[in-house]
Amino acid sequence: MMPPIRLFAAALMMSASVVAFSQRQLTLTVTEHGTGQPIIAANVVYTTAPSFKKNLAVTDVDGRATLAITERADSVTYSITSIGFVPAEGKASTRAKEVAVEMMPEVQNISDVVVTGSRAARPLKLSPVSTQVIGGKQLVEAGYASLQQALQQETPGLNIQKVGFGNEISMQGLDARHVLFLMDGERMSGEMAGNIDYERFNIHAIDRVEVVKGASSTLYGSRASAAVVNLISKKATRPLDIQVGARWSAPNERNFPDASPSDFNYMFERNADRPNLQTWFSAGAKIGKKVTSQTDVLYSSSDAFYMYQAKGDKKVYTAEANPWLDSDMTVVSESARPPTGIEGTEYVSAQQRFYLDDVGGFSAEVYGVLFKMNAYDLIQDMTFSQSQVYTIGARARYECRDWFRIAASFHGDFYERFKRHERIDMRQKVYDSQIIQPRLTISSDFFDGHALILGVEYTSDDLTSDRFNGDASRRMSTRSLSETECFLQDEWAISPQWTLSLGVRTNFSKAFGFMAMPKVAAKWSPSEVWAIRANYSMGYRAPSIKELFFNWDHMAMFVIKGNEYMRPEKNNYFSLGAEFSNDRLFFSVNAYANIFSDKIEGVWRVYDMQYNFEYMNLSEQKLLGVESIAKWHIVSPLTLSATYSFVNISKLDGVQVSSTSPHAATASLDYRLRREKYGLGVTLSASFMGSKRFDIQDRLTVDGVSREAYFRTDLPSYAICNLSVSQTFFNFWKLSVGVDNIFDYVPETLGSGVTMFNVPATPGARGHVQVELLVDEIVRMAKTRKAQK
Amino acid sequence: MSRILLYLSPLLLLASCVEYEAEPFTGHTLPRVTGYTTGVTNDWLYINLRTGKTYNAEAPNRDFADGCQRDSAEIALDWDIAFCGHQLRTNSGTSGIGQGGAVDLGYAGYDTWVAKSHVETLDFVADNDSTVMITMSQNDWNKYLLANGLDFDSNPWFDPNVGPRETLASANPVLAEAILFAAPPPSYTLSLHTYCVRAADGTRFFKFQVVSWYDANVAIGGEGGRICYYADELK
Repeated sequence: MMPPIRLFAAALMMSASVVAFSQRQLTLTVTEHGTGQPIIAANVVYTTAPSFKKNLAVTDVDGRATLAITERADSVTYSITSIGFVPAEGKASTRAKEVAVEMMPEVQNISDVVVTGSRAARPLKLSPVSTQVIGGKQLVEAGYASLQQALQQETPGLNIQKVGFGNEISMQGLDARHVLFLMDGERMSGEMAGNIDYERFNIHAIDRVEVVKGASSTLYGSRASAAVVNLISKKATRPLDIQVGARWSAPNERNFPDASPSDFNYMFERNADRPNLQTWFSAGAKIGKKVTSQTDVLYSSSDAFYMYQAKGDKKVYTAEANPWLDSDMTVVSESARPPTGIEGTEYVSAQQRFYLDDVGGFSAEVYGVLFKMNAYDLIQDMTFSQSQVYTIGARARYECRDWFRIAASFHGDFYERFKRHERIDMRQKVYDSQIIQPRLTISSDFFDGHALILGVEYTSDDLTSDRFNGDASRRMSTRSLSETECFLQDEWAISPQWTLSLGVRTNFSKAFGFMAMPKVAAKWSPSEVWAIRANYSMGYRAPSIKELFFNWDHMAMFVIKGNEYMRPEKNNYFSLGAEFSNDRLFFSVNAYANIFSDKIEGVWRVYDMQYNFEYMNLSEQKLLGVESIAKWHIVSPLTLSATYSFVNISKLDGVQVSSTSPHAATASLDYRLRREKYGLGVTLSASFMGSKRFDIQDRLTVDGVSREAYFRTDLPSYAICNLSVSQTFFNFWKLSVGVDNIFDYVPETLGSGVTMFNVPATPGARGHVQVELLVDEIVRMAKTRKAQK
Repeated sequence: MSRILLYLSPLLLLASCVEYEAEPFTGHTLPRVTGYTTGVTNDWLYINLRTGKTYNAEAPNRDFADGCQRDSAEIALDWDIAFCGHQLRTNSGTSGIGQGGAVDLGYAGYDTWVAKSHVETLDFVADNDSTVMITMSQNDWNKYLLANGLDFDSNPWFDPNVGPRETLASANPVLAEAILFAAPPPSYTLSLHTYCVRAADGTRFFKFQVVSWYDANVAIGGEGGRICYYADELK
C-alpha cells in the first residue's frame, strides 16, 4: 500500500506528463499535387495506435490541420479525405512539427461517397448497389456546356436527344417515362412524355451525379424502372468560394440576319437568332462554423436551327412485320421533306441553399429554386412557350444516439407553362403541375454490421391542363394522383468480403391499391481490387396522369386518349457485374435483364373515322443488355475513359417498336497538366451511336385495300467528336476553347414519318470560348499584396 | 447577401422580360379563314388587286362556286389572286382566262422592288392543275369514300405519318412555295419570299409577300388561316 503523500506525488507527475504530451502538436499541410494549392476542408483522421481513439481535424483556408498528440507515442498515422481527391494515408514522427502532404486529384471517382442506392452516405466501393458517380467539377473541366451533353458522354446507354420541341431521353432501351431524375433525392414536375426540362440542371451547381441503373433503386419509387439519376448539389467547403464564368458558342444558324421592327414576325425572328451564350455565378460562404450558404445562378440562351433532308422519305414495309405482304415493299416519297426546326431556348436558374451543420446532433437544410425558360420553336404560330418553376423545401436530421437518426423533409415543386403572344403583350397558362412530397425516415446501425433504414413518404401529383376535355374548348381542368410509399432496407456487412442489401418498397394509392416490391443486392470483394455485384429487384411504374386522363383533340386531326383502366407496369430486373479498380485502372462490366409485364405504350388505332393515339398495357417485353465503363490512368497527366452499352429488345409479333440502337459507346482522352501557376487540360471525346432499325405503325393501300401496316426505318450509325482545351492561369482564371462536332457530322436523313426524334440534332461543327474566374481568390491575392506593401 | 441579390437581379430580369418592339402591321388580312377547315375543299376567296374587290369574302362559294371564276364572263377578269388554305391562284392557265401569273423575286427585299420595269420582262408562271395539292375537307373525303364504297375506318381522313388527305387542284406552282405546310405536327412555314403577281389584264404588276398564317390580333391558341400579306402595285 502506497502512502498517501507518495500517491499524490505520483499522480501529480502523471498529470504533468499528460499535460506535457497534450501540448505536443503536429501541423499537417495538405496541398494539391502539381499546383501546390492548399486543399481546404479536407478531413484528417489520425491516431497514435490502432487501439487508441481516432481523432478528427479539418484543414483551414491554408490547407493546414493541427493534430493534437495526447498519447505517448513515436509516430502518428493519418488518413486524409477530400471530395475530388484520392485519399492519402501516411505516418509521421511525433517529434516533427510540420508535415507536408500532397493529394492527387481523383480521376476515377471510386473514392467518393454515394447516397442514391441506400439514402445513406457510404463509400462507393462498399455499396452493394452498383452506382456510377460523375463528378461535377470534372464535367466542367471537360468543357461540357450542359448537363445533358455531359451525361450522354459519361453514362453508357444514355441518350438525350434534342427534338423539335424539348428533349427526349432514353436509357437501357427505355424512354424517359422510366428514368427518374432527382435533384438531391427529390422529384421534379413539369414532365412531357416523361421528359422534364433538363435545362433546369445547372452544371456549375452540381457536386456530383449518381446513376443507379435498373430498378435497383426502388427506394426512390415509381418511374425508376430504367434508372435513377440523382444530382447532388454543390455545397461550399471553403469560407468563401465565388466563381463567375461565361461561355460563347458560334451560332447554330442565322435564320433572320436582317430582322427589322417592321417585320410582322419581328419578335419571332429575333428570338430564333438569340446568341449562344451562357453566364453563371456561384457563391458559397461559411457563416460562422455551422452555417453554409450556397447561391448559384445560370443564364443561358441558344439559337434555333433547322435540320434538312435532301431526299424524299423512304418507307420499307417488311413481310416480317406485315405478314399479309408476300414480300418487302418500298415506297419512296417524290417530294422533299420539309426541314425540321430545333428550338432555341433562353432561361435563367437561380437557387439558394442554407445548411446548418451538426448543432448538438441536429442538421438542417432549406432551399429555394427559381427557373424561368422561354422556348423559341421555329413554328410561326404567333406564340412561344414560357415555363416557370418554383421549388422549395427543407430537410432536418437529428442524431438522437450514435446508432439512431431521424430525418424529415418537405419538398414542393410548382411548374407552370404559358403560351406567350409574339405581337401582343399577353400570355395564357396552358399547363400547371405540382408535386408535394413530405418524407420521414429513421435509420439505425444499432446491430453490428447492419445499416437499417425505414421510411415513409407521401406524394401528391396534380396536373392542370386544357388537354383533358376531348374538345377544342381549351378549358383548364385538374387531375390528381397521390401515393403513400414505405420502404425498409437493411445493408448488412457480413464480412469484409461480403455485403448484402435486403429491401422492400410498398406503394399504396386509391387508384391502384397496394403493391410490394422486394429488392436484393449482394457484393463480394474477393480482394481489394475486385468487386462482384449481383442484384434482383422488382420495379413498377404507375401510369402517369397523362397516360390515365389525357383526352386531347389535336386540330380535329387526331385524338390522344388516356386510359383510366390501365394497370401499373411491372418489371423484374436482374443484374450481375464485376468491377476492378486500382490506382491506374477502373473497369466495370454489368450484364442485365429487364423483363416487363403490362408495359404501357401508346398505340395508334383507327375508329370513329379518325386516328386515335391511345395508351394501353401491352404484353411482356424483355430487354437484355451489357454495359461497361473503363477508366485508365495511363500516365500521370493522361487518362483514357470509355463506356459501351449493348441492349437487345424483344420484338412484339415481329415488330420492333423500340427505336433504341443496340450499340452505343463513348470515349474520351483527357490530358491534365498541373503546375504551380499554370494548368493545361485537353479533352478529346467521341460519342458513337450504332445504326437503328425499328418499325413505325402506319397504313398501306395494296390493290385498293387499306390495311394497318408497319414500315421499317433504318438510321445509320454516327459518331460525334468534341475537343476542348483549357488553360488555368495563377489558379484563379481559366480560359477554354473548343469545338463541338469537330468532324462536322450532319445527318443526311431525318428518318421518315414520325421518326424525327431519332437523329442527332446537330448543326455541325461549332466553336466555343469560355472564361471562368475565382473571384474570392483574386480578392485574397489582392489583400495579400496590400498587406505585403 | 444583399449585394449578391443585387448582382443577380439583372440576370433574373433578362429571362422574364419580353420586349414587344414590332411595328404595327400595315398590310392586308384575309377577311376569313379559307380551305378545308370550313368544310369545303375548293373554298377559294378571290381578290381583285387593282380594285380591292373580293368574292366569297363572307362564306365559302357564297358569291360563286369553283369553276365560275373561269367560266363566268361577268367575273372572269375581275380577280387577280385567290386563296384557299395555304394555296394560291392567279388569273391564268387552268385557273382563269386572264393573263396573270407569278414569279419569285427571292427572299425578303419587299421594299427594294419599286418599278414595273424591273419585273415586266420576267418569265411569269401560269397556273396548272397537275402540281399543287390542297387539303380535302373531312366532308368531301367522306363523300369520296361513300361514292367509291370504301370503308371509313380503313381509310381515315388523317394519317399521322402523312397528314390529312389531299387532292390536286388548279393553283399557281410558284405561289405554292409561299406557305409550306408540314405534318406531323401540323405547321405552316412561310418562305418570306417576295413574289410578283401579274394582274388578269396582263398590264399591271403587284409585288406580293405573305408574312403570316395568322392575323396580327389572333388570340393565343386561336385558329390560323386569316393570312396577312402585303400587295402593292409596281408602277
